[in-house]
Amino acid sequence: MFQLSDNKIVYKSSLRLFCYITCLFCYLFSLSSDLYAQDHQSDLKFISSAADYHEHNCHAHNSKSLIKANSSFLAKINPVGWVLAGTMYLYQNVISPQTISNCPYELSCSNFSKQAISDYGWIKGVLLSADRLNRCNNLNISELPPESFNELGQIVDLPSQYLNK
Amino acid sequence: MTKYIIIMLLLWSNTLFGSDSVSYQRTDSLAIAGDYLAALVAYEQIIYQHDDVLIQAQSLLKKSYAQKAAHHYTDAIKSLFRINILSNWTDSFKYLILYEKALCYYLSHNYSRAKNELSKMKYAFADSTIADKSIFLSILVFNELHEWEQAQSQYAKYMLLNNLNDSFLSKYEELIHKNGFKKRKTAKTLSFIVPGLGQAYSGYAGRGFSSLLLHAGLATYTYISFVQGYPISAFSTGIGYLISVYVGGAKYAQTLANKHNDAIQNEFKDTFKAYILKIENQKKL
Amino acid sequence: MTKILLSFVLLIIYQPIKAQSLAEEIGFINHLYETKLYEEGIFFLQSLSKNEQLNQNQKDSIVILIAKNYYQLNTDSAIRYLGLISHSSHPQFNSAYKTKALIELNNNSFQQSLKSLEQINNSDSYCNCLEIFNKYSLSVHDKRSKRNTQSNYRDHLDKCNVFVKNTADLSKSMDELEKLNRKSAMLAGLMSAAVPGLGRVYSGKPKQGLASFSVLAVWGLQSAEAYFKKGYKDPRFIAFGSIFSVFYISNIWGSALSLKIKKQEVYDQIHHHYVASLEQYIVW
Repeated sequence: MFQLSDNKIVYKSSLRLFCYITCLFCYLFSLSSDLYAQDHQSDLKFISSAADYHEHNCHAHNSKSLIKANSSFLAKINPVGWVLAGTMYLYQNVISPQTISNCPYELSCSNFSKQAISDYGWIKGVLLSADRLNRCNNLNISELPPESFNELGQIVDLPSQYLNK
Repeated sequence: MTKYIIIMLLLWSNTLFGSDSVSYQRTDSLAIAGDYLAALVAYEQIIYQHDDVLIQAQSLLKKSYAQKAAHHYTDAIKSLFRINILSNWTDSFKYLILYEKALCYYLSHNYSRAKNELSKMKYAFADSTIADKSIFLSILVFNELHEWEQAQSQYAKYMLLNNLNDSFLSKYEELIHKNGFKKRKTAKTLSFIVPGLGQAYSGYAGRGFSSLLLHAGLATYTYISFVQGYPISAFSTGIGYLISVYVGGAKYAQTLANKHNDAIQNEFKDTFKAYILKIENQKKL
Repeated sequence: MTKILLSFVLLIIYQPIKAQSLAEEIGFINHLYETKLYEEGIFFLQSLSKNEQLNQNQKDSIVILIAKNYYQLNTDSAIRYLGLISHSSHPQFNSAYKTKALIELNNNSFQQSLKSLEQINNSDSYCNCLEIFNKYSLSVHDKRSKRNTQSNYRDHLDKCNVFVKNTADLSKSMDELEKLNRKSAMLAGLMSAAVPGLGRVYSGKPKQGLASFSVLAVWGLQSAEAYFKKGYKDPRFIAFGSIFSVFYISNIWGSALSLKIKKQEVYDQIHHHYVASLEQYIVW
């Protein structure tokens, strides 16, 4: 008799606890459909973190520093590398903006030469670059088919179109 | 015990049916958890399963919130444009849609379209004060478009509504009258007179000096080539590159004048943006 | 009392998001496709495919629908999914592999396209025409292909009723391509070595040839001037001579490469015409 009443007490109290927990669960759940109503605070965060708009141009790959941060130790101490990188940096950032030329290509000639040299080595890279300079004129542009142009009207001309990697 | 069961039933029926006849519980919780594609699919299922135009509009609006949260602003705009706004909808709901379109266009840097959406608010509502909540966005949009007069008038209205002291009206006046701006034509003319002077006038003395050095170097080369009897070299390399740099330098002086003016305007825009976001943040508090 | 509680617990636990069968979800899948929500369509289909109760035919249907959505976003993924169809799903397998072959052709993967066609049972005129165009494309790109091969394939292509009739422009492009295939890159290079720019004219790029000639003339004249003034030890001669040499060698090599570029440009026009004709036959 004593044991039966004990079980009844335990049963009733655990049932009560279960009901409390379920009430809390249902209450919280009923709130969740309003939680995602649009928050003005989050909108302000989006506005404050909105990135600056950059127009796409052929100078996007211009050298921003003399030596790349991720280049090897030898590349960083090589004086020839410094001279060549310095010349490229000087040309792209100081001399080129001051000339009359208007780049029609998606990838400018100097950036084309950087990519060609890094992909195919010095000899092929220099020859490909010189060939590109030969082609960088209005006569050549008039001979290109429409498929050569991207949606911004720039000519798509990559080193990989001329040589297989 | 019975009362607990009744309470639970009442609460559960609220969660099941929600305030409308659609429960966004699952969809919203997926969006909050960052399960982006699952949330979009769940919203789209609601749209597909219900013919009621209002439920579809609500779902598309919530879908655009999820897309905006994932920084997919163009997709959010596409979702919003699937909503056909009906005239019998409440002004507050119509405002939410127009505001969201303007905001997503702003966040995707499409400022002219953001301006279009904000301008629709003038005629869309019976109660014109509803659109007052979005004045801060219209000021930011006009700033980005460099339409300083419109931005100034909106700012004046914003100050009145929020009882603010004037911090920027005089700055707007300066921008409208282009105080401190460099004239493009003057920069170009100066560069034609003395190579490099236009760049220095635009505030880039270093560029001006490098331009002068370049001209001096090429002119020296041309002169020496002529004197030493290399006319072909003097004409083709010397004079050819000299002309290119002379005309290009004048054009560059114009570009630098623009850059100088943009720098003034961008500095103002950034300062103003920080200020107005601070005011808006404080409103909620 | 207990019964009420038990039934209530069941109500709480059981969420009414029971797994729908594929047939029931087709309407929603089509809705996603028609509304151009391809990423969402792919996600939904991938979640459906995880259902272990699907039979092989149903799994293959899902894979085809995923490929259909991927076709609008990323053709490489579409090819990958179409390759997953099992051989046992006979009608689906054939149409999936026909589509796979066409997408591979469109991506200029001619050998893969031919391999996909080989796996189809009961090939029809569509498959035959696709195979001929693949072989024609391979003969265009293969330096070692014989002279008559290309014109033979062209004759077969003309007989294919799957394709839209040849326009005058297309015939002109194919004639031009045959002429270009008879030309030699080495000869273009040698011509440019003799007269700078002549190799490019031979390759079908006369204006480029004129521009190259002008550039080389300028550097050449300056080098010659320096040489005749003070001989080969003159620093001017060394400088201009080096620049002239680099441009001269690059012009020879560029002339040989320009033939390849010109062939590719002409081929691309032909390619677009035939692939556009075949695309209308895609059945998902």
